[in-house]
Amino acid sequence: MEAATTIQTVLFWTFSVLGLAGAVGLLFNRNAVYAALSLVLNFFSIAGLYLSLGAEFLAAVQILVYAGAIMVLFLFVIMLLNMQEEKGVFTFDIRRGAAFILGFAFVAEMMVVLKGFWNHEAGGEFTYGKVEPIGRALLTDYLFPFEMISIVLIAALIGAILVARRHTHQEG
Amino acid sequence: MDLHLLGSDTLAIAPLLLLLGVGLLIMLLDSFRVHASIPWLAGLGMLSAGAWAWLAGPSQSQVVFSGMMEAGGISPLVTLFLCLAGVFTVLFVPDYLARHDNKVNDVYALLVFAVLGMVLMANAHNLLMTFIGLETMSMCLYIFAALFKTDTRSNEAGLKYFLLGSFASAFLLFGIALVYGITGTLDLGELSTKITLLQENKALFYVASGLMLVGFLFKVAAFPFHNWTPDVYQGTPTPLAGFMATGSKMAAFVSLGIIIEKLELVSPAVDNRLATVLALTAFLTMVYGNLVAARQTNLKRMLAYSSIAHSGYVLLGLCAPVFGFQAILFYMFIYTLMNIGAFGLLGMAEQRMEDTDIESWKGLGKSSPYMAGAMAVFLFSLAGIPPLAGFMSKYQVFLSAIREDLVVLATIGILTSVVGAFYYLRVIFLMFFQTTEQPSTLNLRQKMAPATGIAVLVLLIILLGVFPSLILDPIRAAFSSDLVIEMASQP
Repeated sequence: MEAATTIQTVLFWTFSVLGLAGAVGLLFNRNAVYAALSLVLNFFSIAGLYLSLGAEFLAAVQILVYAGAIMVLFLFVIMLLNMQEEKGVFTFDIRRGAAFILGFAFVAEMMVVLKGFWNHEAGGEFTYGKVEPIGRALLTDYLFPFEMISIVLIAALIGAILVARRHTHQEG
Repeated sequence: MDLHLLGSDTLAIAPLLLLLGVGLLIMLLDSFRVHASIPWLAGLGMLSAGAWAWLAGPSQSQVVFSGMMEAGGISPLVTLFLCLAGVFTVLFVPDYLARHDNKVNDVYALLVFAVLGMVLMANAHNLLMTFIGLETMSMCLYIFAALFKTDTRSNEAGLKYFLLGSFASAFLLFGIALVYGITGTLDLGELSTKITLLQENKALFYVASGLMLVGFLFKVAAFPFHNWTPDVYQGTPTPLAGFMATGSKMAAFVSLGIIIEKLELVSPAVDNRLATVLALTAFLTMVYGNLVAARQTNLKRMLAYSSIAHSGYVLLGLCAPVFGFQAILFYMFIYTLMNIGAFGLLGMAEQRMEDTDIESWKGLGKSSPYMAGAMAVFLFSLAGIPPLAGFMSKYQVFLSAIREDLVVLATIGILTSVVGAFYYLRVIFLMFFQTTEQPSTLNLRQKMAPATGIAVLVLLIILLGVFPSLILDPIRAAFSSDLVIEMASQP
């Protein structure tokens, strides 16, 4: 028991530090490709955190969707746009200053609010993060929302086609 | 979930499935190049879905699909209202698109899906469903905003709405996640039994409901989150902007109203600062919307700011539990009629960009008196002048606020309506009493479908102004059969 807790703590700190490093790397890298790769590090670390919580399905989806599909998309866009090194990321004006202060205030506020929840012990064995209970829930209790999400996807698909389709005169 | 209930559950949400089927059929027909019948199919589909919900919907309030959706209670009425918003919009769209050389028939499928999303959102009994409905609706509206690809205004509108809207959705989702964190459930019925748990974790609950409120207030364009409204409405095809300003707001307000009732966000029994936040937002929205609308020189932007002001009045109604909720349902229905009418008529006149300038409406009373008369009815009604329906709806909202001792807010509402009357009446004055040398350059071609739409809307506005009980009585009856809202409203 003791050993398991130690390993979990070690894993938690490792993944947390890596995840934060990735996030900071994303923000401070001027080269877009490096920034994107830092984001991959962040995605993988978060997947590791999910895994250490017993949420296997979420971890797999995190890697497949975010680290896989979305990152490929990012890299393609960077490649197609042939982005140069970003200059002047850290210029400061009143708007950015205000946004920075407000954002910082929001984070501080959330820290205060969530403080009471930091030391909560996770109760019992996690079973709902595995694939089987999720599949069962999706096809029983959550059947209706699961089916209805497909409409969002159809609408998004139509939108993507409408926006991306070549402009010809008779279709306007 | 019980599998043997699947049949009756499906029957209870049959109007939704009808909408879904119509939307898919439109996509299919479009790929076979069957173009002429598509708007009719969309209109008839939405009309019959609304009628089905209203006539054959379950009379008793019940939850279906493991508590995901609510059927019965107020939901048949809300479904009817939302479908009617879609039907009236579809009357104006084909003519408008044809005039702008844009024959994208997917618009009708998206319109049906948008109505479907609104119905999902307004009838949701689970916060997860609320979010899915909101996203379905928003996704379609983003595309409407970006429909004219070669028009930079439309591009701006689409991008602005999409980015800000996704941001607002994320706020809502974060709030919902925190509610789940506190209570372990998203079911609105279960949540209303866990009020004490929410009240115990007060700080977290404030953050959760605050974040959810941000999401909703963005969708209804309330004061600090309104900045997108004029630009987006201006870039969106005019009849669809009317739909955006009415249907999506109705869905968001009904959903917010249900959440407020069930989580007792403004209940006087519970000490809650959110009621103050809501009242303050209502105050600022009413004042800001009306004052800025009065300074506009473009009719479309003026209507956009006026829709912000109208959101303020509805928020005022939300501050008053139960009676206010009934009043805002009435208000939103009337507002839908007159606003779709005003935007539709504006769309019928719009050929070039400057046609939406208020100046070019000068002297329209001479050149096309019927259309100018219809516009005058819509604007008089928006201003809230008796005996039109707009007056009755404002009256109901202010009455419900005064009943709950929100006298100061109601007074401010009445005062800002006076400012509102100024800018609506200015347009009417220009149309009828401003003499110009040359007649109005506006070319109001009267096609069959939009002209019928205008006539029906004008008749409805006059009829409901004289006999408001035609709609008010069904609303009251629906509320008294809605067990969950009744229960939540007991002290």
